[in-house]
Amino acid sequence: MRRVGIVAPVEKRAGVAIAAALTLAVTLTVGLALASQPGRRFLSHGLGAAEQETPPLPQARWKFSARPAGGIGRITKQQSRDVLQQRSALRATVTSIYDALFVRPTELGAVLRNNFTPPAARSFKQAEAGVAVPEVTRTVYRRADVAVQPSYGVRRAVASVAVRAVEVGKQQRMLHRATLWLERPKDTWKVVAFEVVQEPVAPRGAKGKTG
Amino acid sequence: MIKRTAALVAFLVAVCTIVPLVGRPLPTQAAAPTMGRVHKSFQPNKGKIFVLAIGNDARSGNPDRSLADAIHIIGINTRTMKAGILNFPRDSWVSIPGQGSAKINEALFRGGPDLLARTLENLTGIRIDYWVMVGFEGFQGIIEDLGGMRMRIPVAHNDTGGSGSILRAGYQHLKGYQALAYARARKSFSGGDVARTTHQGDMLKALVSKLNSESAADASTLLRWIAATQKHARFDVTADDMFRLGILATQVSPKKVRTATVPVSLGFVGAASVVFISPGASSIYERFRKNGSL
Repeated sequence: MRRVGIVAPVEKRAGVAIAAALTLAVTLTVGLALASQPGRRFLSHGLGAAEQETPPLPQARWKFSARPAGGIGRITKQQSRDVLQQRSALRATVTSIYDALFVRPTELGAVLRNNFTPPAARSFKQAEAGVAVPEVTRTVYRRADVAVQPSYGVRRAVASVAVRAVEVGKQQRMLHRATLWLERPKDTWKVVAFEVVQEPVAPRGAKGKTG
Repeated sequence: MIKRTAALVAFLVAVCTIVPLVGRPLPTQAAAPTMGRVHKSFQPNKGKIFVLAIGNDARSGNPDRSLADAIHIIGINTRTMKAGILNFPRDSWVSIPGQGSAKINEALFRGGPDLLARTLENLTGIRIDYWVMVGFEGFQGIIEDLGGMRMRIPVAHNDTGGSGSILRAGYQHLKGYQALAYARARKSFSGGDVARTTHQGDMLKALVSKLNSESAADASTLLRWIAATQKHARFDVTADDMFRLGILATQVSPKKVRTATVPVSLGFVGAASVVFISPGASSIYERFRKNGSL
């Protein structure tokens, strides 16, 4: 009768041990090689359990305004109320876009899908605005001024957005300015067009300009 | 035995190396924050767009039963972001669909803006997407609501016997009534009607320049322009299209806007003084139709 054992024979166990030792050695070598490469220092961010527990960087508070604009003559109280009603929806749209750009880039795809028309979303993705690694970048100023057309059912708006960000522990700073043209075909606001300019600015106290 | 061990080692090495990298962005490109310069714009219109701008001589009553004093096709190519303004003298002798030959300004009187658009489509081969029409008071009202306009006056003139325009040469800030008077002035210019239509084209270009500079300083300017147009003009543009055309207009650099007046020769039909559009205009139409700009 053939016995079926769950313990490997001695020579097999030796082979497994050698394999495990080799694997460990190779893994350590590859890991050290990756960690020591310049320019890849952000790779480890968010990988380890200890680092995942690192609290998120504090971000600048939003300064947000929404106002009726473009009216010729007086704006009626009803129009003002209609604009005011859209304030929270507009704020949510703008802040979700910019949170995705500067704080949670992994959400950018979904945010663009929800808040942009498809062609505008495609184009915005190509712009590569915002930051790729939010763990090392902190916004220090965030402002959005939204002008809303009070007539025609409050369906069109223009948002002017400015964000300043700094790279933590470094001198690099950036200024992001954008104009977002928004429409509200149904209940939600969608960006139909945009213009975005993002550029490095000289570190505080430095003379001259960079970029 | 050795083969199996080697295979196991290779498998484990592969797993240990690849698994941590799967699902993460490639570090070389994505790891660095975007600190480089980014400048990108996007506007929703595509291709070439042609808009017929009409100024009629209605002072009151039904503007469709009036004559067209200003006739311009504005073209924009959204790929090159170049634009053109093609000016037509109102006395141009043309074929009006279903009406025989007449001065082009009569097309408006006989069939409204749609017939004038069809007349120009037949003449030029350009498919007109929208028309916008404004009367005397409407034009003056738009300029007033926009706070006036600045433009270069090529020749000092005194048209007190006609439109009442009295302006020095050089850059001037025009109020609503001055802009209207200048847009109508022809008697004090040697080119007469041809000079007038050229000046009107220059005014449209100056307005593009004004919109461009104002919206660069304050993006909400566009909403005021739309409101002024909606208040004082008639058009076959939906509110959405008006917004999107406005966005497009803010993105066109005035340096990329060229104006041209169709080449004409003076003549008479019976006792009426008219201008005949030269055969050379065909190449302008062709270029305009093909490029969306001049």
